[in-house]
Amino acid sequence: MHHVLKNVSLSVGYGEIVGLIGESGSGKSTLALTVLGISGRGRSMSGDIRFMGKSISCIGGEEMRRLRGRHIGFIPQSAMNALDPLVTVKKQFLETIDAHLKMSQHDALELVRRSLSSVGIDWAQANSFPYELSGGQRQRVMIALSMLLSPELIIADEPTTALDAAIQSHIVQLLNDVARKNDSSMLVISHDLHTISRICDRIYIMYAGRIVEHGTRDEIIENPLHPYTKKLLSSCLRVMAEPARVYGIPGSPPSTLKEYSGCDFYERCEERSDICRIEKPPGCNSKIKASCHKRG
Amino acid sequence: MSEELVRISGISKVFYKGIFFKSDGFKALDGVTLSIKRGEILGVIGESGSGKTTLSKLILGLLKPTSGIIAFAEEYGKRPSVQAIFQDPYDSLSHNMSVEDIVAEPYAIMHKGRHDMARIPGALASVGLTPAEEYLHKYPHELSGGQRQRVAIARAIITEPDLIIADEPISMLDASIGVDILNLILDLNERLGIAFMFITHDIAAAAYVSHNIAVMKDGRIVEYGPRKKIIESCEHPYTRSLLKAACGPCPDLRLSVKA
Repeated sequence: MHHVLKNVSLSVGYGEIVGLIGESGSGKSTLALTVLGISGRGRSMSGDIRFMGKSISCIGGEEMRRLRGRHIGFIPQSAMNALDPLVTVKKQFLETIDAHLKMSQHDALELVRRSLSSVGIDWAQANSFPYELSGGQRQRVMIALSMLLSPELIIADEPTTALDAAIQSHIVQLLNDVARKNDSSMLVISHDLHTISRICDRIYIMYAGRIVEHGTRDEIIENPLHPYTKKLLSSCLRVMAEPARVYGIPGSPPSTLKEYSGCDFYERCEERSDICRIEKPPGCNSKIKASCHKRG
Repeated sequence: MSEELVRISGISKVFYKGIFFKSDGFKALDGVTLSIKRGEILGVIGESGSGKTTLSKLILGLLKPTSGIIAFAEEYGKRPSVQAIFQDPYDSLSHNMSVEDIVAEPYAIMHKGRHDMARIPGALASVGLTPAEEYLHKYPHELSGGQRQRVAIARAIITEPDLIIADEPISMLDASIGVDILNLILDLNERLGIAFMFITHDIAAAAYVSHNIAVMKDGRIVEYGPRKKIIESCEHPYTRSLLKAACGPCPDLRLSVKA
């Protein structure tokens, strides 16, 4: 049994952009899929997920399907491969509209046109197949598709991974602009703290299925409390003319199969002491900013 | 340091669509001239489609150039050996082979089937997979992304190559793990004197490891020079846009973080 998410609490306010940062295997994507109710068979969940005040953790599949796309938009991981390869871009947009709204053909086309132009895709490209577009263009199409029906919440899973550095910053900026313009809330999931932090209001740091630190962007970047957050920040490469050695995080990422009696980060932590091995640090809540024995 | 290992002069590569050579080709490389010195780390930066990977395939001999010459320096009648590290460690290692078999294979091929199992623990140890015995009989699916990339590097250094072509070796890895792989490349370069051609789209990573940097765009090298010159006083607008993208809209953010 893999225990992937452990006592995770997270909130996204209206019109807020929230970042969720963690290494591969820390459970970020599982969280996204759980919120969307597409986490697959053989998974059990306890706890409650509320969307606009209504619990969505136990509603039926059909009701959930009506929420997805209309009220909760999703930009999946490897968005480059998420589009149907056999259907033109325009048709995929029309399908989404058809599934949720009754709209005349003319209005629907107008909506698609506006949506594509908001991400800078030429209308002439609407009739092309996904393989005819570049990686950055496909990512733009995916963003437009997830925003098509102006959902209240957008979940973006690793939106910049596997893109070129120059395109990455465009996409991050685009996500920011579209979300702020439509007044949507957004949950951005990534392993790249530096790229994502540019647009976030608040940031959660996830390690081994737990939230280990949360705070506003400035708190996390300027004054990180948890040793893991500090390591994440210091392992980032800056553009240097005379490089000083930068070190990554020692040890290997946590396994979901292992259950640690003390702090999950104990083996890789440089500030550890005896209590960290024996006792779990207090979990994060509104009062506790970092889940670490050293800081409250 | 000053001795040339590989000299590439006026290389062009055109890919043709379809079977007949009459159709208009796509020019992936257009008159590229470049040299890699012994013991040098050369960073090649460019966006996707700029011809970086085509260049690496030409040096590896996986593709034939349309025109131009690639010349290797000969030493005692022996050509320098070249190895490769690929982008995606999840795909570049065979799922059916143990770590021991994966690392042993290039040596066996190079020495006509003769295995030398004694070399393997040493190769694993020099890429930081210690104790080596623990990893010998593991399969790639039991390893994390960073460990897999280390196995790929161990496979590359087992034949003691003069040059390793690293094609985006860190772009599939988490940022914190990628830094360790870069440190490993620096370490191997210093200890074993292996020259690297480090292909990337991340200018920060290239600046971290490279002695010299070549910036590619649309199949041409638009700027080439020592790291310091490229980072501090680049001349081409494309290089400047890459630097700007790496620093982001708030350029002091990366710089304000204390290591």
